[in-house]
Amino acid sequence: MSEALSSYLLFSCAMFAVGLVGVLLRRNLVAMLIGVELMLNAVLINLVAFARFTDGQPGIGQVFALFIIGVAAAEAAVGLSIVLAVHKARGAISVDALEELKG
Amino acid sequence: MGLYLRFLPELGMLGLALALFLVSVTIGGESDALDERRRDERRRTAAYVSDRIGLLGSVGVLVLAALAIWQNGTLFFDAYRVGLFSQLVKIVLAAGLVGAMWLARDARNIPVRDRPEFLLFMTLSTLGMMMLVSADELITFYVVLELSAYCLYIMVPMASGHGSHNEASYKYFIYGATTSAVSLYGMTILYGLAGTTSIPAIAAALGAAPSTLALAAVVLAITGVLFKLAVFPFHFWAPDVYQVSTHGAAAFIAATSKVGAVAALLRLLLVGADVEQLYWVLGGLAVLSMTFGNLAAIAQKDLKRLLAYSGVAQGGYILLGLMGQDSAGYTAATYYTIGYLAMVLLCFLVIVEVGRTLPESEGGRPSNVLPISALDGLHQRSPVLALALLVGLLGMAGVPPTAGFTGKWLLFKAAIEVEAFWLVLIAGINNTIAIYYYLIVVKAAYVHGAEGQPRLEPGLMAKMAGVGVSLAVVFLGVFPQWVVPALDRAMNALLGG
Amino acid sequence: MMDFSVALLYVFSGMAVAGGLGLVLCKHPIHGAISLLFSMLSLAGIYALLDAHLIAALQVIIYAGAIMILVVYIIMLLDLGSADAQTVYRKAGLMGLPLLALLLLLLGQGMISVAGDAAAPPLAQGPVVCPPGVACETDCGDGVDQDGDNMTDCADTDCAGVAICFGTVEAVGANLLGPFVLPFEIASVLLLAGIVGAILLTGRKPGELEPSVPPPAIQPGSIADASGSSEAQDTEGAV
Repeated sequence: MSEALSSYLLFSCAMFAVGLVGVLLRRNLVAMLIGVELMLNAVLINLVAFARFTDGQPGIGQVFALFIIGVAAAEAAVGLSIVLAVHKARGAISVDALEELKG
Repeated sequence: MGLYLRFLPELGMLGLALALFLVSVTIGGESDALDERRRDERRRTAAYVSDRIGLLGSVGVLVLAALAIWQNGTLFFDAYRVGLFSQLVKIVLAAGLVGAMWLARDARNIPVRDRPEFLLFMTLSTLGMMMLVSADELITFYVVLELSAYCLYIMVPMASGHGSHNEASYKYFIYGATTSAVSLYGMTILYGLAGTTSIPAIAAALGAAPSTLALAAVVLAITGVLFKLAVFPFHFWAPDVYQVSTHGAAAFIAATSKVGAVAALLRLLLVGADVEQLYWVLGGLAVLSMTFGNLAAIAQKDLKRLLAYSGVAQGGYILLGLMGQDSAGYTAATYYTIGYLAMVLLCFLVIVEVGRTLPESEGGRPSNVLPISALDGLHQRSPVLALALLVGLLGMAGVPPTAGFTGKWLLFKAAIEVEAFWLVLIAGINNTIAIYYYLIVVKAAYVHGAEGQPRLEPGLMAKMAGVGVSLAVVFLGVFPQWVVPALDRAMNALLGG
Repeated sequence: MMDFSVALLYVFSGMAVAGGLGLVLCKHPIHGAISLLFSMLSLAGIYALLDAHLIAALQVIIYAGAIMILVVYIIMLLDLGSADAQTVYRKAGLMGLPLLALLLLLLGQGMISVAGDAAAPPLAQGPVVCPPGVACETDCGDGVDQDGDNMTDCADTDCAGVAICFGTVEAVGANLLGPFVLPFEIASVLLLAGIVGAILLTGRKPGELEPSVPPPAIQPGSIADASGSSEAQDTEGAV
């Protein structure tokens, strides 16, 4: 491993996998949401690394990353308010409802 | 002026959204100074006003979209491409919004106080879909895809009922967020391979240097849209969401958002125009999706669940048209989607009208489920609604002379042209299975007696809508030459550049 | 210096992955959230290594700051968390893992073959080379607007790849309000929808809440599934 593009990409691959495993295996809704955030972070690594290494249009990758950070904020707000609504209605937020959620 | 004209339907949608938002914060705004009775009055006023604004406004947007049909060109630094394809789809989306707004007009289980916001989300979601078909660049595509999706996520738990609404909506949300993260991962690889986010430029770069990674990236990138189309294996949310959301929200998700999803998929598949292995991926998904959807639909006792699984199967048929990535297949897929929109709206017209007569569930809250047995004797209780249901279901089953038949015929023809005989064979077998469960519903409506069923009194508008849309489905099926050439031209323009 | 940044890359990526694993393994969601915070901060370090300083700063402010605080706040507000291992994991999720492993193998292999093992190219120092026949900002450090488009130095998108501009607010912002102004505006609509939705879903006053009693079973026997699992129980029995 050296400071090459492929090391960044493999690292992002690993982060993506960890996030997806979190979503797949965890039962708690908030933990699943955190898993999704982890996957989005893997995407960000990809974008910033490509922006730094490719000579095409280097600005685009960073702008894309910026948009993803912004949308992730909205996603967290919407997701957590649904968590809150579930909790208000049921008093618990574990997910048997997601039993079928496989890859 | 020309530039404004190109963006006219979207501006109209934004204006409508703004109007609904203003109603929500002014008339619908809560004030502690008011007593309970006055507050209730204001909520009712807000709901009444927003219903009217929503319906009239969406008709207005339909007119604007029709006015802008011949626009051509790009906007916003080439991020936004307007052409015959996008403008046609925008008209269909606006029509779908009118239908969904009308069906939701007295969705009695959307609480009166939430009505302006409910319509606001419907409008914003359609706005997102309209922009989706014009987005020519991945960042724009991603942001508007999320806009259209988040509004749907919020619309589902808004139905004030019991807790399972919220759980189905969380399932919907978390699954949607995960697939959108997966598709973003694919998009970033596409960006890395091509050095740009412009869809035509990526297509050119992938065509110049095909690789396994490129194929994987395209497949990952389309998962987000396949999720919206509820294609196997991204369909898990559909039955629960259809079943627990209000009829209005379910109609919007089942009908209008499917049009948006198909159009977005067409647009996004352009990046893989030169990736040949996509043929196998899309074909495989088509087979799995139609087989699974049809088999699962047989066992359903709830009409909305049945429609959800049948929607999974219909998504498979539509993929048949996309797999060849040629203009004939795209035309067939779009034509079929337009017919499908009308057929689903017909079914939901019946669901809304019949649902109104069902007893409320415990706690005085209206029930969102609609067992097939509630349709018993529909032809005696309301012949018009029974006819609408018949046309809608037979259309989905692909019986002539409906648009469903012509659409399937075009789809199969397009698939045979790209040498997918085996696929067409499987699709044919599937269609036979599908006829079986559609006929179960038809049997309930036409053969079963109406004993013990509540009276059904659809309004004049409902009757007219039922007859009108039924006629449209048949007309579209008998005279495809009124629509297909325009679609053909649109697809050629889309694929040509 | 090169070795030092390689060492930093090791440290940061190790910390980030460890934080991610913490999320999967920690039973209490608050521990998961804290370990994610840890991993987000390490990622900010990685962005800084990649010269994307603005993104690094925003990662700390928005991700580690705003989003994670929101998550932690919700976890504490609702007093979530169960220590019972049986309720922490879903066995069904295991079935997705082989598929995931296959996907990763494919992606990882493809990425290595495409990316190669070249180190980061040094960012351009000298004058920007214009495409033939197009005027562009050639000198990004002189405070002069060479191509006459009212954008000077880093604020001109031509300069995005030059060392003194890469990753700065000006370079990213110029792109944001230039070629990407449409998604920028739509993002505001998206945030509006998010705000209205959050208020709507959480802002109901007590008394208008949904009943906390379990709902009556939906039409007994009406929701049988072809796959054999009753989804009605799935959507209702998650207590």
